Amino acid sequence: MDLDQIGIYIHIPFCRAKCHYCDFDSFPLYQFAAEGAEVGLFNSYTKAVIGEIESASWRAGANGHPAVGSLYFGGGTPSLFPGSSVAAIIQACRDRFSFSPGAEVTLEANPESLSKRRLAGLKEVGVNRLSVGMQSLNDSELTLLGRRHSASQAVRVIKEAREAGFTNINIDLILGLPGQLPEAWHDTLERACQQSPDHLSCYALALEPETRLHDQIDEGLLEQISQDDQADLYSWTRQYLANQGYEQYEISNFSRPGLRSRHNLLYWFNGDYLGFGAGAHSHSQGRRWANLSHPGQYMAAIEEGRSPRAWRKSQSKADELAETCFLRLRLMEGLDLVCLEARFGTAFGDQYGEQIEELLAQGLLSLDPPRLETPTNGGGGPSGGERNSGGHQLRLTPRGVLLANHVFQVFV
Amino acid sequence: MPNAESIRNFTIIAHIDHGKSTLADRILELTGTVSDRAMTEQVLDKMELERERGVTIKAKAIRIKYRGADEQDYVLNLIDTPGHVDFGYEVSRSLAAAEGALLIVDAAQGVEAQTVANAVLAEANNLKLIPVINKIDLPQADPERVQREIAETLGVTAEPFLVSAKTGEGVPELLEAIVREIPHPSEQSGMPLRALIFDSFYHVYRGVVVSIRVFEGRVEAGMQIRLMATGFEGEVAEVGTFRLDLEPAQSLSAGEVGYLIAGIKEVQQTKVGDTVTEVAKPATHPLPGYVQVKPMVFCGLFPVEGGEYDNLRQALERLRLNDPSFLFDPENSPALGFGFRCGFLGLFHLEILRERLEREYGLELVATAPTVAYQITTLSGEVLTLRNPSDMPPPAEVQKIEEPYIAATLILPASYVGPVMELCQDRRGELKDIQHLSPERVKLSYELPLSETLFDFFGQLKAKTRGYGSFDYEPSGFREADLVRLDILLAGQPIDAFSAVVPRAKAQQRGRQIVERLRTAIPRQLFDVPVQAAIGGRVIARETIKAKRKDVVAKCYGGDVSRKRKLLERQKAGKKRLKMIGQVEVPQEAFLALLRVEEPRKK
Repeated sequence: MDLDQIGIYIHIPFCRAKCHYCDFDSFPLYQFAAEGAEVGLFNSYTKAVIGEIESASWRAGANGHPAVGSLYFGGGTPSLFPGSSVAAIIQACRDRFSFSPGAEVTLEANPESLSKRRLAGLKEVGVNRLSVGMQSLNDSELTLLGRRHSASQAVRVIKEAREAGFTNINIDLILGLPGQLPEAWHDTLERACQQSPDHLSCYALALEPETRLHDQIDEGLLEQISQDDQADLYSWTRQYLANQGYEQYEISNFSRPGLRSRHNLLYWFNGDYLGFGAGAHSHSQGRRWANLSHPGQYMAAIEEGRSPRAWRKSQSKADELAETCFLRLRLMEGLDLVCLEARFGTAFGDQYGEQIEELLAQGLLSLDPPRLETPTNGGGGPSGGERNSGGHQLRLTPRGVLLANHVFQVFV
Repeated sequence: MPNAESIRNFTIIAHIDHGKSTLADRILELTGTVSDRAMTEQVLDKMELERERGVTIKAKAIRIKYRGADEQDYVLNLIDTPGHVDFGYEVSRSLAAAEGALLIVDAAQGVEAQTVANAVLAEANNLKLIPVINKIDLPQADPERVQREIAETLGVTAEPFLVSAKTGEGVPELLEAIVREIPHPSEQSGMPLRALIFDSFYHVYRGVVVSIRVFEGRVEAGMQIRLMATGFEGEVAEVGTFRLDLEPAQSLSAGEVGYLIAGIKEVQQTKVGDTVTEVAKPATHPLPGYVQVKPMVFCGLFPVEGGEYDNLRQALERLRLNDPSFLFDPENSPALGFGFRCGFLGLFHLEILRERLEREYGLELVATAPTVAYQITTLSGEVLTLRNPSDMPPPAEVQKIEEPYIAATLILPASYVGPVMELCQDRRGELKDIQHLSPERVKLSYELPLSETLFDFFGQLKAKTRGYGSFDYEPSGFREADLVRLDILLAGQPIDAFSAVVPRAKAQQRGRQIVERLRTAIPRQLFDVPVQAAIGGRVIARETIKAKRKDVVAKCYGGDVSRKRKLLERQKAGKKRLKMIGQVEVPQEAFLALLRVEEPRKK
């Protein structure tokens, strides 16, 4: 992972409706524009985002301005935006920052907002990775989730995306829905794999407060499946996808070799990224910040020449170290302790040694090679000479993956 | 120094929330004892905790100057009393210090259990009772009905005074009644000193201040006094009366109420009900009615973190400064480490002090389930007092066990009599009497084991009477019972802190209830945890807390990092409140879970 590159994130906060499980920063379109008058809103928003990009002032790193390795349109529903708006934003980014060759440009999409024409348009303006919110291939589950497409629609969209020339397609799925029998999940995943996606994100359902699903469960209209049942579904999923030739590289993310999400890897390596748009988050040179969530407030701030920031935080070295640890451990390859020490200059063993020993003993972590020494005192074992990639890898065991929070607490 | 004829010593007795403190405030206000500026709500309540619960814990007295309708000057000594059932003895000694009592009854609620209990105590101390019906300003006030209840239940037929302490209506007439109806103390100044101690407290600058009612003789600074029950002897540094603060005086004579300070270092050296006399001219007999107050309810208190032991000890000592009836001794529990075995007058006393420890001193505590003191007679004839269930000797060594009983008075609406009688029966109660106070209200008298009231008895009573039931009790001796020790094992290890003494007939049910409650109260660990109940090594109930398998956040992208971090920090902080018992992380709630006992379900 080249941490000398940065990522850019663009947030498109509008949706047609709120899905029943969603607690993201997303806003119903009708609150801002009547049907038919949406183009005006999109234009205003695009203008605001471009304004923010153009006036972005940020300090160069040690090597001058790093190049942009990935650009990601997230939301909300970015696929609601017309191709021209997407193009304008991409252009603004290219004008302001230098992009590395072959930079990844991802756009999140809902099946119902993708037509053949739109797909072609997106491909043309430079989107080279598509992330499709499929969630389930069971129509009654889709209704439960408040999705506005059908299973057959989703399947068709993947085909059409391939026909439009997309070679890097991700499918998002949710497992462990209320009342979901294992067979239903197995069926969804099998049929999703039949579409030969390049990448899958399989998320165990998390019930967030103030979502419709949460309320329905509170009222007894729906019944949650137990955490143990979710654990079973998840374990089955890992095994199944491995058998289908997908590599699990992160707790919820699986891909064909070489087709991992470059942008998301930046998050898990705790690299630098700049976020633009309402509610967008950034992490750069030891600082974190976020923009105002409400699109109206965001656009007003940009227009009036005010800062669109909702909050800022200066991170101490300890903060960065802690976050890097629990983010890196989300990756199956785990945490390279030598790299970590090089980056932060601390002796990992001194800081966390005791707790790590306990987690190793509890079988939640594994250490490779199994001695917590710094390489300078000859750690590495008899074949240390061959292991020249850095040395000590700390990673979650299969059981540890399921109990990751228990492990991650050590670092905060 | 006023002459005895112009003194009136009186107290105010009432059920909780019937308006005792408000009436006291109104009296103070009307007589000019408190200027409006100094008036804080319910002046006589000093501690924040008391104000919240509306119940005074410490007895206090205040000297009121009053000019009567006859243009004569009078001294009215208002002696305040603790309102709760746990402090019955202290109430009785405050009553003994007075000649009369205002008996307050809420005009809407009518006679309640403590009205009865206090009235009985007042009559036992030969007080003149003036019935007062308060809160007549309320729309649902029914003074006629209440007057009938007072007459029929208490046998007090005098015409009650109708007042509203809130608005002040009727209070001036009440003051006149105090002067007219309550007898003045008798003239006894020539005799040897006998003064009743009805309260004491620790003053940061003055040391122990003793509240006294002088019955005979006179006490003044410089005198050598003796406390007849504890044997303490010392020189009087100061005497005086209570206004809003201490007001020194030359002397206190027979009939007067006030305080003395005599170089006493600890309140434990002054016993409520004791007699003060002069060393040079001692009285031959102490004043009647003195009883050694004994704690009735015990529990173990342990800090969640061992390092807080010293802070806990200091806090307990500070509490003891002003609470002579609170006792504690160091205790060592294999499961919980070093802590203290604490004795209280009752469950209410325990809850108040526990809350103060947590709130005022910021201590995170684990409290074991409360227990009563049992008397165990061993085979060799030795009698032991058991305050900690895990100290119980093996059954083979025990000849008999006796447990404390209480005589309980319950007053409730007639329509709830069935469920309440079932409740008392389920708690091994024996019905002694049923009396109708009125067609709608019934008084039940039961004898039941004190231990059966420790677990949600009051809460159940309130629930079954929709809040209208009231309850008072007094100790009524010990009775033999067939009791066994129920042990609880976590992950195979017996946990002394969970042990309980239960009637043999209930052991199975109780064991299953406790095990089931612990199963839900203790969070899932990284391994399976068996929870077992056993008697004498024989397991009678078992549940398993299955190992936790999943605790992971599915998504963590750029915008999620801060939130995820906070979640982890909260989880980590939550663990700090857990006590490690063996290998198992146990929250305080698990101990509290043992306090709730479900009623047996109907088949």
